[in-house]
Amino acid sequence: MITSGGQEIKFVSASTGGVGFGTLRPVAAAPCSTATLSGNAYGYSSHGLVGAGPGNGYPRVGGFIPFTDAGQITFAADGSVSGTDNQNFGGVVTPGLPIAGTYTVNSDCTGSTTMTIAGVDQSWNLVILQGAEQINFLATPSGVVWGGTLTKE
Amino acid sequence: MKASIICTVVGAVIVFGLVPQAKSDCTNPNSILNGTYGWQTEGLGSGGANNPRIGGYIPFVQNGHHTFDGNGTFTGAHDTNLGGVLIPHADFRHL
Repeated sequence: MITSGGQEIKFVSASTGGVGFGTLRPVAAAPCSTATLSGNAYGYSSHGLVGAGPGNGYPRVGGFIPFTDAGQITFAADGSVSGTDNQNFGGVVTPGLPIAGTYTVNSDCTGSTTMTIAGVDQSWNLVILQGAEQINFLATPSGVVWGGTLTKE
Repeated sequence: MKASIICTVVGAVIVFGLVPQAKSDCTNPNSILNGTYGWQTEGLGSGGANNPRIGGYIPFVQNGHHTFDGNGTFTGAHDTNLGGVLIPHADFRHL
């Protein structure tokens, strides 16, 4: 399915035994560098799952605790990231969690962040999309199933 | 423009194996897919012996990029988070 004047392709997986869906969008023009994101602020809202250990008291979906997030993150020229995350973790709302860390950008317009959210280690792999207007991210820590899209403010 | 959109639909159908909903008069519909696209997908999979599950399924998220050559071939790489287990940077090539 073509949307946004041809700038997006929506798809559904045709693989047997699983279900999936997603979106393709044009990648930023290579080569990318730190300057591609420098000074940009992005907003996001997303959802994910944490495969937490026993005894934490949260209701679960299967073996997971669901969460949602909305927030803002800024990429500075010195390679740092900062921002604020507002989290609903298993039905418990915690606003204003500070984000702090660093980021790198590769020439093929992929990248990564290493950061903390409220002091908890977090890291994302990134794919920078056209004009750096959006960035797809995938969380890499073990036990967390989380991905989403950052949209330039 | 309309023809291009129709061609792109057919191209997406070829790549992802979807059931076509439109037919094209293009001589080479693959030529529309020429460039690099970032993509993300999420869903529920059935593989993986020891991953945490929701019912019988393992939730996953993938983040990657495809480069289409306009002749029906694409290459790319992606990261997969399968039930909280990262499978990084899987390269692929489709001929």
